Amino acid sequence: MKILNIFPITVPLLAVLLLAACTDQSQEQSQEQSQEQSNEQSAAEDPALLAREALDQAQAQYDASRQAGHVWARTPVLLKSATEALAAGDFSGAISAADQATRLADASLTQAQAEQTAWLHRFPKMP
Amino acid sequence: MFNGKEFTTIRRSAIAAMLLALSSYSLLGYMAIFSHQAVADPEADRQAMRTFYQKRFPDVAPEAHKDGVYAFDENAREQWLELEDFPPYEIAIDEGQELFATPLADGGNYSDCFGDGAVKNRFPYFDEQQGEVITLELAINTCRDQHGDQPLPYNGAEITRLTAYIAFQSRGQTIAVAVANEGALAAYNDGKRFYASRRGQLNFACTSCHVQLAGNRLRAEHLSASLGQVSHWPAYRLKWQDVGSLHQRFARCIKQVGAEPFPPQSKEYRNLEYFLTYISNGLPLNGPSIRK
Repeated sequence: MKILNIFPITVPLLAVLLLAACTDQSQEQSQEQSQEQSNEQSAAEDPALLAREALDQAQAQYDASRQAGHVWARTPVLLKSATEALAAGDFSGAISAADQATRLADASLTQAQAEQTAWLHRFPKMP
Repeated sequence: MFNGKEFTTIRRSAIAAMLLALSSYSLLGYMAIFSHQAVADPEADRQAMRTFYQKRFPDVAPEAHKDGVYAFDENAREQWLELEDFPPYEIAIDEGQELFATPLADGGNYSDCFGDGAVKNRFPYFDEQQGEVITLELAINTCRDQHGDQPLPYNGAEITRLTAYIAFQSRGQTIAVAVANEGALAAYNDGKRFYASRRGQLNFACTSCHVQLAGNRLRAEHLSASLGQVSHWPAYRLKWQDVGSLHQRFARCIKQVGAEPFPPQSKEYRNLEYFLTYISNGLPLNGPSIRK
């Protein structure tokens, strides 16, 4: 009987609490999102971070071309100069060299892929 | 006999059957060619190469390719023969002979492993237990290890002088490499693939120069044939002003096409040496020698 008496009060109370919790959560989410956005924005504006990212990408592609046994001689030279430029604080120079290294490593990987079958046709055949 | 509708159906069926037969035939033909190339037959490869170079150089016997470009470049041959009167590699042979007789850590020496040194025609070979190609240089370091000595660096002068002496002792032996088991065939195939794969920023394969363009000029120099490319090493190169190894030469070629070279005695170079040596089976060994 008593339970039935408090029921009309309990339901709206729970609804209000739930709404408050959801509002808090959405506020937290939007705060997190804006924090992430501001982090990304600061990363996009931070040349050191951009140079580091470019160098990491170049290194990854270089490692892949080494794995494929098709490293082009210029790639490690460019990687070295990108690393040195980054260490010296020349971020645009580092990004430029790292991007070139990535492009060369990409091309050498394309070559490695093509050569998986192309080599078969380069020998004289029995008449 | 047939009405128009039946005739059309029969005609369509006949065309479909013909197309199916043709495509099957093409597919089978393609598979036959592809499988012929993918599954290596070393002896067929060797014969095909010899036939190819006989057509390319009709005046040069296959065995004469042991002399590289001097087999077909008369002017270069004359200069080379004059250099051979007082060969600059002689000092390396003498030093190699001394090193060969020098006691190793436990008092033994190289003759315990290589007898009088006339063993070059035993290398390279595929060791089934180790699952890899064993070159003379690897065997020298194994010998040192067995005698409790440290391995020699593969790009150093000492190992090249030892191989120069062994090559000199082995002059006149016939190259006779065997590809006797699955592992050996895989190593041979790997070397063959390396030789024919384009690499580097210039996008050249070894075959680009030494098969497709063999006999042509690259700047002032003639391009040698694949046959005999391994018969005369180590060689005194005028460019190096010293005796160097076959793997140093591989590295130089790889670098010239804009690729990063592999280290000497890497698996890649040993398999390449194995393939090239098999292709030169039947040719005499004539190292050390002189090259530009």
